[in-house]
Amino acid sequence: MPDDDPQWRFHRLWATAEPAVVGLVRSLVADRHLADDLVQDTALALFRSLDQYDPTRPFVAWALGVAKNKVRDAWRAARRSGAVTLDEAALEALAAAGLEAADAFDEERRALEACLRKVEGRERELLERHYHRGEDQASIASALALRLDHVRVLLSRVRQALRACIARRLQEGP
Amino acid sequence: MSDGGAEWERWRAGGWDAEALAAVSRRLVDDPAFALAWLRAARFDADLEALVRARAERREQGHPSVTRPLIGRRRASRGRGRWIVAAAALLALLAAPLLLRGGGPRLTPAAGADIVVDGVVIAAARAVAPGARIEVRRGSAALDLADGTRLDLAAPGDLRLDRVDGGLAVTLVAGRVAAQVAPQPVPAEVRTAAGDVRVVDTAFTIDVDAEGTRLAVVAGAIELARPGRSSARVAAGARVSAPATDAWFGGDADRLEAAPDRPLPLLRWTHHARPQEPVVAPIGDDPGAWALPRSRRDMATVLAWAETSGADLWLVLPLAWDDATLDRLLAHVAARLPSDRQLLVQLGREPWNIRFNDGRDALAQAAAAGAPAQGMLDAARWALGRARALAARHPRVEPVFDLPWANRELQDQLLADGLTGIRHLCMRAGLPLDLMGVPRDSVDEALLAERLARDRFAPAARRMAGIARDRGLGLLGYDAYPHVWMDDSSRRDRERFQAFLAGPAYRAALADHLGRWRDEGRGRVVGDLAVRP
Repeated sequence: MPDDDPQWRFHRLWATAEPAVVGLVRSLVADRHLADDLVQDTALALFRSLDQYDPTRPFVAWALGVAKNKVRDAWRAARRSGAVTLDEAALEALAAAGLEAADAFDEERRALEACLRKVEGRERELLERHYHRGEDQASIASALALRLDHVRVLLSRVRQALRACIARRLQEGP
Repeated sequence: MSDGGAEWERWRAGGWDAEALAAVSRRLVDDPAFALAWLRAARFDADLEALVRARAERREQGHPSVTRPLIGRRRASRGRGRWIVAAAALLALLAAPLLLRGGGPRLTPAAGADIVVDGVVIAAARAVAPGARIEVRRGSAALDLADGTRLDLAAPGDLRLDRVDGGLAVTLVAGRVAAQVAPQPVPAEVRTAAGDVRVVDTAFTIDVDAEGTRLAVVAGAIELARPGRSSARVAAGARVSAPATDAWFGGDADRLEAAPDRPLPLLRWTHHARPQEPVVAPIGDDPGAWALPRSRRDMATVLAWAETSGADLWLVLPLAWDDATLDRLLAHVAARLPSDRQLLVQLGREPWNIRFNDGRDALAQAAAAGAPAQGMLDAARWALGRARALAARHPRVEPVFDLPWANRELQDQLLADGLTGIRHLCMRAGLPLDLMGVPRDSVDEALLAERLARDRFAPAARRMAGIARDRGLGLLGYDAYPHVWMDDSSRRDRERFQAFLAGPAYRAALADHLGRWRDEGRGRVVGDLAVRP
C-alpha cells in the first residue's frame, strides 16, 4: 500500500497514537462503552482532518488534543442530562500528563507485551475470558468452577504480577 | 500500585457522587504524582486488554482480525526537541478551552495559522462579534459558540459572521467549513452564493471555491434553500454540488431528495463465537432481547438499524452454533425484519479454510456425524449442507457463502454445486473482478458468467451498483463495498463507514484504482463509476 494513500497513511499514524488515546480516554470516562465510542470519534475526527495535520509535529500530540476535546464535549452533554463528571481542570491535568508520559507509557506497553508471553495456563485463560471475550467475573467463575471471590483475587494477582514484571524489565533495560 | 491507581480502579467501578468527584478532581490537579498513577492505571488496563485480545485473535484465526484497530505498532523513538514542540502544541490546544469560557463566539487559531479578523492579524483566541470578517490565510481556526456549536475553518477561507443571537448565520464567501451544530431553537444558516444551508442539529462540511460549492452531510440532515426553487432536504451520507456559475445543481439535489429511500444497501452483522462460549441467550422474558457475549449490540438494535437505514440484513453466524440456536435467532429476525428486506445468512466465515475456526468446526462436525472429512472441500461441503438445510427451514433466509479466491479446483467444485458466493455480489453487478483484488487468471470467468446469468441475487447486486453510481461512489473491494460492518468492534461503524464513503480518501482511492485498471487495459469500467475530480 503506498504511503500517499490517505487511508494507509492514517492507519500508520493512528497506530502510533491509539494506545495513548485509549489510555487517556479511559482515565477520564468510567463507562467503557462510552470510552470506546469516544476513541472511535477521535479516530474519525483525525481521519477527516488528516489533510490539516502538520507532519513535522508528533501525531500523538494532535491525537491527544482531539481526544481531550471529544471527552470535554461528552462531559458537557452528560452534565446537561444531570450527570456528574470529573472537573475540566482534571481533564487538562490528565491530558497534559498523558502527553508528558506518552513515551514512558509506550515503553511500559512494550514490556507488558513481553511479560504477557510468559503467562500461560489458567492465568492466560482468565485474562482471555475477561479481556478478550468480555465475560464478567461471575461467568468466569462458573466456567472455571471457581468461587467468585477467587476469580477476583486471581485476576488481581495476575495484574500485580504483570506490573511487577514490567517494573523488572524496565529496570533491567533492553 | 500507588494511591492514584487504586483510586482509578474504585472510580471506574462507578457510583461516585458529585462531592467525591470534585475531591478527586482537585487531587488530580494538585498532585502530579497522583495524576500520573491514575493515568498509568488506565493505560495499563487498556494496553492489557489490547494485547490479550491481539494474542488471542492471532492464535484463534491465524491472523489479526480485520475488524480491530491496528495495535502493537511501535513508535520510533523521538528526540527531546520534537517532544518539546509536541508539548507546546498540546499546551496551546489545552489553553484554548480555558479562554473560551465567555458567552460569545470565540475564534481560536491553530498553531502556525495566519488568521485575519476585520483586517487585523490575530495570534491567540479572541472574541468575535457579529459582522466580523474572518480570513483564514494559512492553517485553520475554530469558531466556538457557547452552546457547543463549532465551525472549523480551513485555509484559504473567507467567512463573515452575520448573526449569533436569534440563530447563528454565517456567509461563506470562499473556503471550507466543517460544522458540528448543537441543537438550535432557530435553524442555523450557512449562506453561500449558490444557496443557503439551514441546520438544526447536524454535522456537515461545505466548500466554496472557484469551481463551485460542495456540501457533504455527515450526520443528521440539512435543508438546502436554492434561489427560485423549492427547498431540498439532504440526508446524512449525501453530497450535493453546484457549479460556480449556477445555483445548487438541480439534478443532484432533486435526485437526492428522491433517492435516499434505501441509502444503505447492506447491513452486515458478524458474530464470533467458539463452541464453549455462551452464544445467544434471551434476556428475561422477552424473546426479542438477545444478549451477545462480547457486544452490547443486541439483535433488537441490529434490527432497528436495518429498519431505519433501509438496508437488507446480512448476518454472519458461527458454524459452531447448533441448529436449535440458529433456528431461534432466525425465527426471531425473520418475524421482525420488514418484509421488503432480504435476509442474507452466511453460516461460517470461510468455512472451507481449515486454518480458521469455522473450517475446523466444519471438519469436527462432519467427523462427529460420521462423514469422512479431511480437507478444505470436505469442510466446505459440510458447511454448504448446513447452510442449505438452514435455508430450507427458514423461507426468508437467502444463504450466502464465502467463496475461496485462490483455489481454482475448490471454486469449480463449489460453483458446480450451485453455490452463491457473497463475493460474487460485485461481479453480479457487472463489476470487473480486478476491482475485487482477484488474480484474473485464477478465476474461471466463463463458468462464473454462466452462473451469474442465472443468479437470483443479480437484482440486489445491480441495485447496489446503482446506488453507488447515484452517489458517485464505486465498489472497491471486499472491505470497501457498500455494506456496513456491525462487528462487535464499535457501534459507530455505520457512521464511520458512511463518513468514509462520503470522504475524499475513498474517492481518491477509487479514482486511483480505476485509473490504473483502465490504463492497463484490463477491461471496462462499468457505468459511471469514474470519480469526478
